[in-house]
Amino acid sequence: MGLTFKGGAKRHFAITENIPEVASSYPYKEGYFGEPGTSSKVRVILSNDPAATGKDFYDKIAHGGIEQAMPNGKGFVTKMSDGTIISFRPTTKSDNNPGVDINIEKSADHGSLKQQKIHFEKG
Amino acid sequence: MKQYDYRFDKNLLRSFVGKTFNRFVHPQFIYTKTATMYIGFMIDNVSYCIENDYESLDYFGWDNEATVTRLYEKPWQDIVEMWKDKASITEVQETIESITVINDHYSSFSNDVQNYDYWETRAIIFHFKDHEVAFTKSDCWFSMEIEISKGHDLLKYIPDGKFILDDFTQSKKQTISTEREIYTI
Repeated sequence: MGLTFKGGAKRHFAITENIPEVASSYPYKEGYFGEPGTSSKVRVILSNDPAATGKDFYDKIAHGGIEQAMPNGKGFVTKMSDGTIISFRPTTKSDNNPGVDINIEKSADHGSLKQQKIHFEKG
Repeated sequence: MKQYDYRFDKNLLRSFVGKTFNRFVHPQFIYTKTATMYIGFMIDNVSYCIENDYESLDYFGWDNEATVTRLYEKPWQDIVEMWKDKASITEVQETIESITVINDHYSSFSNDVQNYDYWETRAIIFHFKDHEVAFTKSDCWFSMEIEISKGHDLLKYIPDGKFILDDFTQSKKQTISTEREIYTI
């Protein structure tokens, strides 16, 4: 009862429905966004405004999901209809930049998308 | 070599056996039977929290943070208030007959030299007279989710701890070995 979906969507979206739009705005290759960081699964997206870019990326990739605030108030977690869980933190423990983490562990269909952590940095 | 040991305190878990598991609490389930970051439970009227949160650490050279699960005492009201009016409390009021602990151990090697040694508790299963309750850390190394399950033979539903292997398949410089430790108190 009373479920709302992120971004004003009328129904629960699967992650695969959002990949095309996000991939048109951000580098996307072989299931990964951005460039490899310290490993292939830890990615980096550079921009002049990491805070705004991280928020924009999260809003796009998590569109139509069920969003909840983290209990510590330090970010949000969104669940997609296929089981993908996306977390967004304005600052991470690694640095003071935003982070979006994409967990496909329980996803029934994540398409080409791979599991990854994305850091948003200035550059 | 970097060494991390995040296993739950065996002595604390042993102290639970024979006591009454009063209740557990988590946020109302939304789409999945998981809680983000915290769950709480009360044993002999003392309350505890399982927390699954990001911590700063060198995770196999991949990132400077990962989610770490910890078990500690925390006032019941502080736990419940985290979810305001969306807390879901399940009364149990059963004697803990035994506890099964599932720990995962990861060792990574670079050029055949061990560079990381990492232990964590994947799940604990409380055994009562006629059912079980389990709390399980997600098998994803950066997930804050804790799965809550209730029923029978829950050990067979615990993830195998090998999801991390997928993260090593593309690495030409590192290899990993995994082992699981299961014991019952």
